[in-house]
This record gives sequence, C-alpha cells and structure tokens, in this order.
Amino acid sequence: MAHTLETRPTEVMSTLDDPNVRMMVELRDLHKIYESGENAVHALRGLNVDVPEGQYIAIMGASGSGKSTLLNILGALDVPTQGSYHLASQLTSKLSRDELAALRNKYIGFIFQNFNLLARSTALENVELPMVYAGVPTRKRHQSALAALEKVDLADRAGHLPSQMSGGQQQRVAIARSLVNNPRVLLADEPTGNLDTHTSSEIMKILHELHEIEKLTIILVTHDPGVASFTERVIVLRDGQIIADQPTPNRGGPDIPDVRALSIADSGT
Amino acid sequence: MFALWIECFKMGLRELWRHRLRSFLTMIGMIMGVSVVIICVSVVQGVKDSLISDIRKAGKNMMFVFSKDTKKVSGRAIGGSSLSRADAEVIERECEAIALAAGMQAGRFPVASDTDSSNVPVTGSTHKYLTIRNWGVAEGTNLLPFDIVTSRRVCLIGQTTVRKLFGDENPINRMVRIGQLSFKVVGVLEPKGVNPLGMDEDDAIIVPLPIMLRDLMGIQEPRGLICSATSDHDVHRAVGEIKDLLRQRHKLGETDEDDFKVTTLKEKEDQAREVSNQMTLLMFFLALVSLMVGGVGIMNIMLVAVTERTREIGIRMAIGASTKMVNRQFLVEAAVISSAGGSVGIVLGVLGSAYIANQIGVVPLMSPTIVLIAFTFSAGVGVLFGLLPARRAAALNPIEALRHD
Repeated sequence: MAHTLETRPTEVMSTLDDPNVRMMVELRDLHKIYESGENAVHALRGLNVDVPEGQYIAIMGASGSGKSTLLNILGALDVPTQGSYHLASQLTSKLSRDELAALRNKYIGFIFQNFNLLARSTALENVELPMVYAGVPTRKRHQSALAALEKVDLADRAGHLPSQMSGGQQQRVAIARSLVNNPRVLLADEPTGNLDTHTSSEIMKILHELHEIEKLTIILVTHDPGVASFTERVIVLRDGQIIADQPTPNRGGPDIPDVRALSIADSGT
Repeated sequence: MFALWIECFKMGLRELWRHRLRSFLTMIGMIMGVSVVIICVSVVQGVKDSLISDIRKAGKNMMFVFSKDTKKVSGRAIGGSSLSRADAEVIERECEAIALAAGMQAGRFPVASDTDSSNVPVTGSTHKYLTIRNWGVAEGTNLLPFDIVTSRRVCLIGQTTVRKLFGDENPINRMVRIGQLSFKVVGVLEPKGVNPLGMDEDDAIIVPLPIMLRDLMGIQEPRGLICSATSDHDVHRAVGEIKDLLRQRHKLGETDEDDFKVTTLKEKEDQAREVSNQMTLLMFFLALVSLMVGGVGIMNIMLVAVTERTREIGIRMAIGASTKMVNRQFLVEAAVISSAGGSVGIVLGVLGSAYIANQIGVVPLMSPTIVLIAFTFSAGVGVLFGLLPARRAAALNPIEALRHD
C-alpha cells in the first residue's frame, strides 16, 4: 500500500471557479512523510488545494487520514516534506522558525479541540497573550482583549481561570484569543469535539457569524458531517489523498460522505 | 525590544507567583546552600580569630626561655638551671629587640587562708612579669621593684584563687600561707580567663622571685625567663639575639647544643592559624557539599517544572511566541527565583552565623568573597537548569510540545 507512490498529483478541484478571487491558501503537490526508523509514514500524498479568501471550508477524514497533519501544516506548526504552501501569497517553506512564529501570531488564529488555554492564567490574560507576542502596548492590549471577550459574551468572566469555566466558555475564550490579532485565517481543529450538542451549536453559531459578518476565512477540521454541513465546502481526505472536494448541500452540493463509515470500510479490506 | 523584556519579566513574575509552592521548593535548595556556606565559613573564621586573639592576649610579643637539662653543662649542679637572673638582666640590657625580661619560676603549693585551703600554681617573678603578660591589677598594687630586691613576703592573687580562699571577701592586706610561709596579699589580678590549653589562668599566685627560689623551692636560679619583644615584627629577631647572647654567656662552643630553649607565642599563633585554616577548608568543603546538594535540588525541581510546562510552551509557540521569547521568559523566572533564593540564603546565613557564633562565644567573620561564591554558584545552577530544559522545549516542534502531557 505504502509503495503505490506513482499516483499523479490530483488535479486542482476548486468549487469556486471564479479566477478573480484572491487565494488565501494555495497548496501545491504537498507531501508529508514522517520518518520513524525503518518505516516511513506517508501522511500526505501530493495535495493541491486552493482556498479563496473568505471561504468557510471543512476538512474531513477518518483518524489517520492525514487531516491533522494537514491542519498542522496549514497552521505553520509543521512544515511539508515536499511541495509548497502559500499563505496569503507568502511561501511558508522559506520562513525560519521565528518567522513562522510571527506568521502564526499575525495571520493565523487557532482553535483547538482541547482549548489549549494556559491553565494558570485568567481568561483576560489568555486573550492578551497573542498581543503580548505581537508587541502591543499594555493598555491597548487590555482594551482589545476585553472587547474580544465581549464579542464572545464573556466580559464578566475576564478574571476567571479556565478551571472555573465550562467547556463552552473555555472554547469561547479560545475563540476570543484567536481573533485578537485580526488573523487572515481561522483554523479550528475539532472545535466541538469536547463539547455537548447544545454548546457545540453555540460555538458553531459564533464561527458562522465570523464567516458571515467578518468575512473571515475559516478552515475547520472535523469528522462530524453535522458540523461540516455548516460550511461552504468540504474536502475529504483518505490515506493522505483528497477523495472528494465539493460544495456542501446548502450550497447545492451532494451529501457529505460519512467518514466514520469510510474508516470502517477501510478496516474491512 | 526593551518592552518585550519587561513583558517577559512581568510574565515570569506572574508564573512564579502562580506556582508559589514550586517556587518556594526551588528556593529552599538555594537558601540552604547559600546560608550553610556562609554560616560554616564565617563561624569557623570567627573561631580562628578568637583563638588567635586569645593567644595574643596571653602576652605582648611574649617569648619564653627554658633551661634544658644537659649533663654537658659544666660548673653547675646537675639538675640545676642553666639560666640565671643575671641572664634576664643582660638580655633586657643588650638585646635591641627585647623590651623587657624577667626570671620566672613556677611551682605548685598548698595555699591556705584563715578559712580555706587549696593547691595553687605559684609563679615567682618580678614586677615586670605582669607587663610582659599583658596583665593588669584589678585591686591593690602590682609588685614593686622594692619588693623584689628586699624579698618582701607579698603576693598577687588571681580571681579564681580569691574565690577559693576568701569567697566574696576582700583579700587585700589579708594573709595567705604558701607552703610554710605567710604572705600578705597586695593585689588582685584582672580576670584573664582560660588559656588556649584549657587552663584557668585566674587560678594563680605571683610572688617575688627571690622568695620563690630561696624560701619556697630552695634552688639558686629560675628555670625560665619571660621576655617581650619591642614589637610584633621583632619577635623573630629577638629570638636570634637571645640565642646568640645566651650561647656567649653560657660559654658554649661551636659544636655544643643550646642548653636552653626559646619558644614564642608566634609559633603557637602560627600553629593555631594553620589548624584553623585546615578547619576552614574542611568546613568550606562541607559547605560546598551542601551547596551541591542544594544545587541538585534546584536542578531537579527546575527540570521537572519545565518538563511539566512543555505543553504551556507549545501553546505559547502556537499563538506566536518566538523561541527567543520563550527562552527569555524562563530565563527571567529562573533568574528571579535564583536571586530571591540566594538573597534569602544570605540573610539567613548572616542571622544564623550571628546566632551560632554567639552561642559558642565568638564573633562571626563574614567574608564577602564566600558570600559571593555561594550566591553565584547557586544562582548559576538555578539559572542554568531553569534555562536548559526550557531551551530544549522551545526548540521542539510546536505540535510535539502541544501534544506533551
């Protein structure tokens, strides 16, 4: 299986065929190979993806499909083994560690499944943190952080520690944190994975508003078709390759494939 | 640039405060290490100082000449002294480096007052004896030259002996019986305390030398001379002069051995200094061990703390902290905690050595060098082992750091 490498790069399949739209994300022949002793794991096998500015897109796949690897590369947390990644027309593979850190700081907002808040810092301090690294003066930082918390309806919890808040509240703090530096792309890794249905829909509503009102580019990784259906476009990964790239049903696309079924079918073969 | 440093500083302080227990535990290693070093070294230095000043207190630039029993000595009774009172006079007159010299004869006699009796060390010497010994009279008068020449039966009496013989009563002008003879007490000596050999110097009676020799001991000449050099630096020269003069006076040939022996307190002082230097060294190594143990403690907690915070470092890097910023934050944390611990250690060390030195009755001697060494060492260990693991974590791939539990 790992040796059938002769697959040609998948052709570009963009659902938005308007050539005038500026591309926020451009992936070309992207490969990621994890070397671990004898057996190399080919996590991504030549991806070509374009994400126009302002698009709300879901990346789906069963565990082991390479979707987390793709998200890490998109988030400039990891670098591809081969191929190129342009974020807002910047070629990321040419950047140094610290330049990547600056890129993450200013261009990318992260939302994680497990929130990843600093446990011993208050909500306000957590939200301020990206601005600290961006060199924003203390007073301005304070105001912006409070404003961001207000946006997610948590201004009254500014002084609370993460442990004193519910999962949904923590995720809202994380969203506020991801937004304070006005990023170009919001990356959400299973943002509702640790939340109950009610809280999940709350979070999804916030993301929807960010897309609708602020025209933010949002890339969401999930294995939940219900979550994916909120977006405009779905990319399905399997074994490091794109097996589907289509509009969601609410944009006139076909039904979203159930990746959980896919993974079961996989283990059958 | 500067603002970033301030940010790192504030962040570091906040983290330390949030992890109060951990910060405190780290500081304990530092506090112990630094304070133990300071206590050990300054107390031992204080002991050394007091030892040497005790020796100095025994007498001003004092030296002794003792008769050596050599059967070669001709013209004198075997068992008699090779020295004489005339030797003392000539030494004082001829030797440039000698200020004072007196004959000295010690013995031990039963001494009785009207009410009590005791066995007391008795010294026969001249009125110069007290000056040479750097000793004063608390009450009454010293022996007078007149007393020596006329062999008056008077004596000086030490504080301990007063207590033994007279209790709380005033002994001046009272009579004591030494051996078979009665003496009048004319003076009470100042307290001198215990000498470096552990003997109570205040248990003493001093009588004029002629009486001591003729009436109490029944001998011709004293077995010892006591001299003082003109100054501290002249002691060595004085010894040489005494040797030359006595060899000449005793008509010793080139090949003859000295029939006397000169000892100085300088030698004793040097010995004491050497011993206490060795002691200082020993204590310093002991303290160094405690510094090491403290250092290992600091290392341990720092390593664990930073490893435990790998995920925190991952989060910080994911939202845009550069490696430099992460390093800086941990440097600040390590530096603050190390210098705080070191400072508390210095304070505790100073207080502790004052207390312990006070308990054993010496004045502690602080050495800024030692304080600096102890502080630098433990602070260095703290900073190094706070920074190294943080550097390692900051060099990780952010996702690996994020996945760390």
